[in-house]
Amino acid sequence: MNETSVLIVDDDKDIQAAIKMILELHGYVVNCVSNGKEALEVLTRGPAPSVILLDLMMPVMDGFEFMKMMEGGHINPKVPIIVMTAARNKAHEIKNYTTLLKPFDVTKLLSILGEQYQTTV
Amino acid sequence: MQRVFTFHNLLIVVSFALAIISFALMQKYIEEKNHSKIEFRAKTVESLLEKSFNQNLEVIYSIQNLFFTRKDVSRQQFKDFVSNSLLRHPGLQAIEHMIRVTGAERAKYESQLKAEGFLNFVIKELGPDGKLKPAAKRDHYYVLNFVEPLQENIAALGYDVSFTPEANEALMIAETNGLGVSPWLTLAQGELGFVVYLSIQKTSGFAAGVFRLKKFIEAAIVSSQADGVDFIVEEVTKDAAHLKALRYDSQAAKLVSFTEIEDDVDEELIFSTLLTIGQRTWRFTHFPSSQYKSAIHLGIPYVAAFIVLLLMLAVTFFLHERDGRVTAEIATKVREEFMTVASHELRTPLTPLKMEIFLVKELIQTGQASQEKILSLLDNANKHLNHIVALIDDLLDVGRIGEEHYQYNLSQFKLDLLIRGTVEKFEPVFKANNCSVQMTLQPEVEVYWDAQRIEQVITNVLSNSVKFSTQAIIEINLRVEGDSAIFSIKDNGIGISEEFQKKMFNKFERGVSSQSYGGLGLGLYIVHQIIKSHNGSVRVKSSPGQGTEFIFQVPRNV
Repeated sequence: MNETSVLIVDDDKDIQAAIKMILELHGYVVNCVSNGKEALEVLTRGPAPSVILLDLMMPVMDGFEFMKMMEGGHINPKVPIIVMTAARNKAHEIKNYTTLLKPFDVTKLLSILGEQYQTTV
Repeated sequence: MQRVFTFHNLLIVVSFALAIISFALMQKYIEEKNHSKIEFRAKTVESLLEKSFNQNLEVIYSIQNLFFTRKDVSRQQFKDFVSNSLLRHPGLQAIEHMIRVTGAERAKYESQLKAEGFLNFVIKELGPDGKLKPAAKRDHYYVLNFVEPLQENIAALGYDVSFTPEANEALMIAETNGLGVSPWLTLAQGELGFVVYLSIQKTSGFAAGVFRLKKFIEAAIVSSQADGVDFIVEEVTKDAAHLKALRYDSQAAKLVSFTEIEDDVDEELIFSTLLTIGQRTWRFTHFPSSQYKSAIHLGIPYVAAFIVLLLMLAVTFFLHERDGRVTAEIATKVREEFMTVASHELRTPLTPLKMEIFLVKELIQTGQASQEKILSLLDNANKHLNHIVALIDDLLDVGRIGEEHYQYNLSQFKLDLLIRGTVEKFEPVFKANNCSVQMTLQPEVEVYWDAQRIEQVITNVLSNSVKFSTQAIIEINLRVEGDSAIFSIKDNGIGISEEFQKKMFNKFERGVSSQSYGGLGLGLYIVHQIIKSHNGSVRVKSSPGQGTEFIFQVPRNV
């Protein structure tokens, strides 16, 4: 049993719910948090997710700050990140991560995840 | 922008004021320059005359010395001694030697002179007709003994100088002080002059110099530049016989008879000095003649004022341009920020909507679709669609409401009922956000407004209250005061900074970062436009952390 767990970091409850429902249908284990700070707490508490779906514009701690913390090596272990954002101009600033522009096709998300992480279904 | 305009207007006024001031300062500067130029001329004339007088005096002193050291000076020796000096001093008409002759000595003296070859020699005095005649018998005479040049003055030989009171006074002063000067008088040749007497100690005699007034002054100052500054010279000694004053014509470099100073002479530029010649005082009044050239061009004040004005207006123009550019830059920045926010806001509800549709399809395809699940997903999809529609409405309203001729749809309705109805529509939102609402509404408040737009005002403000509060407690009040309805919406949210209160009714302004809170930054702009169009006003009472209250006062009949 090789379960892939996904952490969704987005302040929009509806987006959280929709992505969670889709990914669960496809056999992923999904957890949701509303901002970067909560995501950091999940990482420090463990167990670490296989991949993080990260929104950029959020209150308290935004996606950029979260990425900076990750890159700064404060957080272990390193977890791959997929950025999703509605801000086209901000997306250009993301160089090191796969980026999905909202509103994105769910199939695209599923294919990215499917290529990298074998699921049980 | 209004304030900036006022500042620029003020700058223009200041520009003109500065131009006038610089004109006045320049004018004053020129006047001072001119004044000092004329003053300098006066001082120059004064010192040149003093110097010249002293040089002439030296000649007379040399005669005094001659007679003091030698008792038996012959007429030929006297002539040899003075003739060169006379050539070098054109101001001197004649040099004379006088001796004192008593009444008893008169006959002996007269025969002595006759023996010298002056055949008809007698001691003389002035007759009432102005002609010389033999002197009457007196105790003593001051007789003109030697005179050079002799030929021109031979008739004066033997003249009793003490005969006229003025000359006698000068003689007496010379006897006491060593030097005596006659007042201005008409010389035997008909021109104006004066005589300087020096007493010769131990001999009871006098040496004298006869000055031609015009020649003396003209020769003294001939080398100096007048630059069109004329002067009037007159003797002002007390008791002086008032002969005419003379005017020095700077163009001709000549003294002429004085009539009057031109009318247009600037009083400020008239400069007087007094010159002391022995016991006599002469006054010199310097003034610019019509030929006078100003020290500085008279057009300078105009040029200065013009340049200052031009510079100031250029600065004003520059500042105006720059402010305009800054305003435009800010507007561009706000617009760009809006485009970013607008695209983000519109895409945000699209994301779950797309997923919800995908899910419905997926659930149906995989046979996992329960009716409950499908309905819930469609409800959510509908909600997100409505959100998008609301955003699009807002954007369209901004375009329309800002227009001057936007047509409002006015009708008679009860405001208290409209408020209640709007709040009821909000109930699900309030519930979802744990909000409570307290309403204190005066009933039956009839207004003649655009009901749909006023509902939009209430909706926008309530949305803000919910958005910017956690577990909001919202108070809504309504009362009538005079012809106006006053209604207010108060919350206990994060409040609004004083700085943002100044611009919160502007298009696309956002009080908080778009990271933390969504929204287009249009809600309060629309509120303000609608209330303004209803001839009403909106006030805000708020400070950070202390909640916010919007108070609307609108005339009940627009």
